[in-house]
Amino acid sequence: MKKTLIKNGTLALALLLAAAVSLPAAAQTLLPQVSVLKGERNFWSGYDPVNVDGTVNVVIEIAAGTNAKYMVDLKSGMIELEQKNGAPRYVQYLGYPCNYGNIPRSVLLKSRGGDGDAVDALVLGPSVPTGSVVRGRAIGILSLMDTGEKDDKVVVVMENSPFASVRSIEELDRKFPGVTSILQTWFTSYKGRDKDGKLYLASSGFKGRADTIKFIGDAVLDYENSIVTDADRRPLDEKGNPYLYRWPGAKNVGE
Amino acid sequence: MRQTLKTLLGGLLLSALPLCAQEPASLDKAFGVASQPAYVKHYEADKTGKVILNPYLQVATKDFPAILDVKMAPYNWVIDAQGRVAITPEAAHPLGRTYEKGFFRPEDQSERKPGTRENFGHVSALGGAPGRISGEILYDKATNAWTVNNKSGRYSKHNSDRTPEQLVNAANLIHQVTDPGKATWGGVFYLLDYAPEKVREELLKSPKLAYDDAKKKSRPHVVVMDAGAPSIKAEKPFEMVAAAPAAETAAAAKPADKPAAPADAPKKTKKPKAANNDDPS
Repeated sequence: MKKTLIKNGTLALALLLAAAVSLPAAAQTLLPQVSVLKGERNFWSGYDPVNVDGTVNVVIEIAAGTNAKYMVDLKSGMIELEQKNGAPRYVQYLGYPCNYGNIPRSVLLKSRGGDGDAVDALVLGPSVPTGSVVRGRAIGILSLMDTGEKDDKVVVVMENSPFASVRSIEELDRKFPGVTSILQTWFTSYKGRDKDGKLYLASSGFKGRADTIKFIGDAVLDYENSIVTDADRRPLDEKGNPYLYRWPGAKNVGE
Repeated sequence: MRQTLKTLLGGLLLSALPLCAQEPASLDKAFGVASQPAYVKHYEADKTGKVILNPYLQVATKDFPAILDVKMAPYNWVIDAQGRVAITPEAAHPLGRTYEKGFFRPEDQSERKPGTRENFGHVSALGGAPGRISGEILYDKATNAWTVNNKSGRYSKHNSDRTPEQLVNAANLIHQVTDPGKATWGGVFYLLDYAPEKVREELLKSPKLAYDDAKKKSRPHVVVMDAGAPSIKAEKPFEMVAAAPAAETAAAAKPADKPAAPADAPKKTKKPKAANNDDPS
C-alpha cells in the first residue's frame, strides 16, 4: 500500500451530520458523512488517465463495503452523493464488493452507445476512501446492460494489493475463486427486479484485455477530442506549415 | 576490532558496486544507450509542455505481457531506460491536424503528402523521456504475421549506436513479452535509413541487402531474424460459470470473448513490407 498513489480530497462542505458518529451502527449506514467532496484537483479532468508504466489511474467514488452512491459530478469536478427524488441515494443491497470509481479524462459518448459518463472501474484491492486516486492495471471488462443501455465496467487490479499480480480475468478466477461470480452477481442484482420479476441489469460475462485496452483508449481520446479546440493547437506559419517546436528534453534535430 | 569490521564491510560493499552498475551497462549494450528523443513535434506536447501519453499504451514485461490486436495495427515500440518495451498503436493525436494539401515538416525538411494526419509518435510512449532502440510492429495480412523493424526518427535515427544486433535483442524481448493475438511472428527488418552511417555503409555491401522495391531501391534493409519466433499467450480464454442471477439473462451463459475464428489462410504469399511508410517519425 505504501507505493499506492492515494490522494485524499479535502472536504468542501462541512460535515452534514457530525452527530452521525453517535448514532447506532444501523442508522449510520443510511446517513452520509458528507454530501460533497472537493478534491485538490477536478476529479474528472485533473488527473491523467494513464501512466508511463502502463497503469491506469482510477478516482474512487465508492469505497468497498459501503452503500452511499457517490459519483463524480462532471460539471463541478467534485464527488457528490447522488440525489434521487430529492433524497440522497444509498444502494439498497449489500455494500459494494470492491472499490468503485472512474478513469479520469475519459468519456463514453452517447453517439457511440455509451452513457455520457467517464469509464466506470471496479478496483480490486483493500477498501480505500472516496476521493482517493489509485493506480492499477486494467485486466478486463464486466459487460453489463442496464435496462437496455450498455453499462460496461473495467476491472482494475490495484497496485501493491494482493490482486496486483493478476493479469487476466481467467487468472483472477483461478487465483481468487469466486471473485468473478461475486462481481457479476452483485452488479446484476443490486438494483433488484422489475415488475415482471426480471433483474434490471444483465451481464454477458467478461471481455479480455485487448478489448479493455481499446475501450479505455477510445474513451480517453473521445474525452480529449471533445475538449480540444483550435485555440489549444500551436499556430501554423503563413503557408500553413507547422513551426519547428523546441522541447527542452529533446535533441531538437532540425534547429 | 570495530575498525577491522568496518574496513571489511566497506571492502565488500565496494566489490559489489560494479555488479550493481552492470545492469544499466548491459542494457546499454543490448538495446543502445537511452537517449533524448531527436525531436518532439509541435502537437505532441500540450500548452504546458507536457508530452501527452498515447492512451492505448502498454508496457510489456514478463509479468504483464502486452497484447497485439490486428485491428489496432500498426504499432510503435520503444525500449525504455529500464529495459521494458513500451508499445502503442498509431492513432490520431487530439492536438494534431490533418493536412488536406500536405505540408512541409521542419524536423526532417520533408514534404508530406496531402491528407497526412498527425498521429501519436514514439515519444508518446515514454512521455518524451529518453529511450533506447525503437521501431514499428507491422501487421502483414498476407502472412497473418507481425513484423518488427527499427523505424523511428526519434530514438533509432540520429543515434550512433543503434545496431542490427540491438534490433535482434529487442525483437527477442518483444517476442517474449508480447502476445501476438491471432497472428504469428514474422521477420525482423533492419532498415538502413535508420542506421548509423558506419553500419549503413557496411550493410550496403552486404549480400543480404534487400529493398521493398528493387527497381526504385526503396527502403533498403536486411532481414536480421526470420519469421517463426515462438508465441506467448498473455491470457487464457475465460468462460463464466453462470451464477444464478446472471443465468436469468439470455446471454449470461455465453462468454463475452468468443474463441477466435481461425484466420483466413493467405491466398498468395507476398513479401511483407519492411516499413509501413516513408514517414520518418
